[in-house]
Amino acid sequence: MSGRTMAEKIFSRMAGREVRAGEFVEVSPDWTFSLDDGIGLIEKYLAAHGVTTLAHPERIVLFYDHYAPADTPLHGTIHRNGRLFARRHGIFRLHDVGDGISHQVATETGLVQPGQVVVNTDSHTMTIGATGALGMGIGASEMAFLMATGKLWFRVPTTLKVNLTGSLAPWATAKDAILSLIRTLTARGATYRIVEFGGEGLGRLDMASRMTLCNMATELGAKSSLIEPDACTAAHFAALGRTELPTLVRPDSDCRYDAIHPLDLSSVQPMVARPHRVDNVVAASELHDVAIHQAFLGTCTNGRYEDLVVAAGILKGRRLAPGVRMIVTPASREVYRRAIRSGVLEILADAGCTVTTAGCGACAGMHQGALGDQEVCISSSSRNFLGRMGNRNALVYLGSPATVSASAVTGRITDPRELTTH
Amino acid sequence: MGKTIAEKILARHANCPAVAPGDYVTADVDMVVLSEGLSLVLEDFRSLGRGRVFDPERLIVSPCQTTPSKDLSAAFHSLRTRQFVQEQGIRNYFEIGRGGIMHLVTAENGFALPGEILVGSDSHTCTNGALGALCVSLGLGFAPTLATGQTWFKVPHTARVVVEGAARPWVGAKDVMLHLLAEKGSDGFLYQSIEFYGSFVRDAPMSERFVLCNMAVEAGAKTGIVPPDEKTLAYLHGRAKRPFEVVTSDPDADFISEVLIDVAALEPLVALPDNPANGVPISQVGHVAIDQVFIGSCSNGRIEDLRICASILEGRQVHPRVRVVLMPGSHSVYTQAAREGLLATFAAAGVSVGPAGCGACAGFNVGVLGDGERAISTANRNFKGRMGPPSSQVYLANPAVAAASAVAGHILSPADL
Amino acid sequence: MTHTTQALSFQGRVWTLGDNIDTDMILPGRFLYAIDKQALRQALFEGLDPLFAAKLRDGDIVVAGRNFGCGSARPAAAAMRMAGVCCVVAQSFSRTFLRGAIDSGVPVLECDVVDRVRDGDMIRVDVAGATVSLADGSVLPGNPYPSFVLDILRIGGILPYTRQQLAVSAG
Repeated sequence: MSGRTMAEKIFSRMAGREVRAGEFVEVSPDWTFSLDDGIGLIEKYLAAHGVTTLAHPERIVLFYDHYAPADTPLHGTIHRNGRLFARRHGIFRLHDVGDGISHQVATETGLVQPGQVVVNTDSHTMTIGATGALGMGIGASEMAFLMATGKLWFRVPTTLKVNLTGSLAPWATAKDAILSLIRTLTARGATYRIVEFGGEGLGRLDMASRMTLCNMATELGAKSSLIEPDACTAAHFAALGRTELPTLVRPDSDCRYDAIHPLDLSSVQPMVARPHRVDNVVAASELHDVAIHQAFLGTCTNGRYEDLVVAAGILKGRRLAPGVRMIVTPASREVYRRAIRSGVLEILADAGCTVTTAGCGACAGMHQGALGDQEVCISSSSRNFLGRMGNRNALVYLGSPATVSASAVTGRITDPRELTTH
Repeated sequence: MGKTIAEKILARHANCPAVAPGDYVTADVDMVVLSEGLSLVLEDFRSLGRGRVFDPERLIVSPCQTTPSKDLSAAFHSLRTRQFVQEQGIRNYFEIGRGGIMHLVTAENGFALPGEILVGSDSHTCTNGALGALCVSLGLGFAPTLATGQTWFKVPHTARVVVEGAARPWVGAKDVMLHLLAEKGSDGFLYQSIEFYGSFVRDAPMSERFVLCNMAVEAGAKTGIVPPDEKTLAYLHGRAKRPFEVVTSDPDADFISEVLIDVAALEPLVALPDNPANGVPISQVGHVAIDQVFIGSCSNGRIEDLRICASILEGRQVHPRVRVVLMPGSHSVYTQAAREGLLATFAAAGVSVGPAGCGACAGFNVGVLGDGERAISTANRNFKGRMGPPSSQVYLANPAVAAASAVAGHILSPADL
Repeated sequence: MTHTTQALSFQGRVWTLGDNIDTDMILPGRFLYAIDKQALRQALFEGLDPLFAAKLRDGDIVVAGRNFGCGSARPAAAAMRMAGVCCVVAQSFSRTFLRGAIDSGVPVLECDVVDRVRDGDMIRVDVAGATVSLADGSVLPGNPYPSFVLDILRIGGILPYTRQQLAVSAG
């Protein structure tokens, strides 16, 4: 029998027996995350079924990120009810208003270890794949079932391997790399599969970049994504004081992949996804006629400290173009703190950026940066579907933090290399 | 017979030799102070058939109430505001990331001047009376003024409020106003112009004077005014957009009343739900656990307020059960707070710092409360349903009390921390 | 140029309210910037009583105590008229509310009558004459307006008034 993929190994551990892609398993995930935009519904389902005790409250973590601080009395009340719910059920981990996006907090605190399984009511749960953990998004009703029983069924997915080679040129980033991959493979390119990133080009990518890659694998239709743990992974946890890690799960050299796709990082250029599909990708340099009204830097895709550093590098000593507003929403409280301590925040503020509290921000919730009719936004987020940022008559382009920042300076979509050669 | 500041300013702007309380006049205005609320009257403005505003240089527009656009309606109004500003050639437009709360932006940029008349839509337009201008809210009826540069006024009576003495630690202008409101009620100065005098006012920095005038409206006043002095002139030096003329009340002017406040006798006050006039000394508040603290607003969102909060939060953590949202009143306050290390102190303490703007004050942007929740706020109103559902409750206080309460998890004087 | 004018005399059913009725209570802040105003009518006076708005009928008169309409500047008077209230009588008004009412063309009269009436009473309010007539025949004096405020009210608010003024000055 051939070797196993990372996903097969992880599911085997959870199932307590050796399983292969295509098989059904019942698992008790290591972590069960729930968010403010789902907890209200989950509570209703639990109540409707008379569930009064939860199976594993110690594995449940609540995060308030989609509409925090609350924007309406309804959402404020959902927040409040969630806190009471947590207290009632012995859920002692609640990341309240201002702590930030679940995927970011989980990664930067080292809460989830490599090889563990996380489920969350969010499609970007796979961001955690950057640390070698398996993150999967599920719906609210499934989440209610999971919380009540402690178990959930999955079908073990097959894996699509992305073989990374080379290294990124200046101003090309992981965001541009994943946009290129999505253009090639399309939005259906990895449907229901695991996307596993590996290859000799991986070693040069930092944790922040890896998170961006894993995060956007969902736009290929993937069930989840994983990155082979290596020295970078170990260093990430060591910096958090976790030197004792479980045996790191790696794919066997003879495991079966559905396909192996090469991705040469050296040939990646700044790319932009045009409205209204994530796979509608072209080179940023082709869009220099597109004027923008809003630039948005944030989200679980590209709202990390490293992303703010890139933005500050471009915005230092500059001001935003007339008629342009730039909203910066740090992905977590920790990102905000680092940005203040290092002076990065001050650079962004001096340039005219509007810096919000940490959270998902304008990406899906409509608050803290909704768009007006016919307005154009360049965003570091992951989705640009019609109406994604709330307005069906607005246009959302996706790009890297460098592209977003360069565009904010010129007032039109700008390849960052155009700014930095002057 | 001598005249008060309001009487003199109105007479001058109405081209009358003199006016008296109760007179109705039509007067020219010097500035119209607006937010994205400008969009709310655009149809009204167009219906007047004038096409152009009376003078684009006389408008100042700084979106702040629903920013960064909190939903589609907010985005709609902000967009229309931008389009109108562009169409009319209004240069005094402060986009998010440059502006902030309209009243702070107006003062910071030298558009509020002694002897002038400033009108606006927002009820706290009176804030800039601290610069010796006559500042009056027109509510949403300002479209005609955009077209004509004039509006009707009823000449108010003027009251004198004399604040004497040196304040105890942690007591400031916010407490003076909460005390005045508690004594006189929320209609204690109905329709009047309040002029502030006394050693406390003389010695107070501009930031504190803004607080006095800001809260005048909560006592039913038409406006509040601090007669200009050297501090006013120092503030305006290098900032004022135009030459101006200081207007003061004549010694024999006719004031309808005089109230004397001995500030040394005050301890910090807290206004209990559901009225700003429900102020009680903090020692009488008892144990009130809180869910949220809001620091900011046109009342107490200035750098001086943030410094006070930082001094209390330095080296401390906010209570684990409390969420603290802080929004500097303007983007210049934001950048200054960053430079001074205040934002670092706030972040380290667990405060969630938001961008400049009105924030949580009016309950329709961020920081909205849930059922039954309690907040302490440095803003100016705590009516039922103000910051959340009708079951939520808001307590008003000065920034020091808000910061101390954030640490304690319940309403607390910083003296007791 | 002809203008429509409204009468400033009303007869209607009373709803009494107390002192210091603030604008957060009358018109919750979330409606200030709302584009869809459908829910506004139901939310009127929500802070006071969520069922109050449903009881209002066209031609009703609100009679209140002191400092009616205090707090934020909101289109509270216009919202009340949309809900059917034809005029407001109060012992005293917040100046912000009073100005907003006049500018919106919503007749309001300062008159201390709240302790003399109960919910459901029929009264007559003559805004021009500044009087309130009760069912028992008594007539109470209110605070009269100068003629130009009555002109604004008669013509329906500051907008039509301004249009008229601009037409006049244009000759």
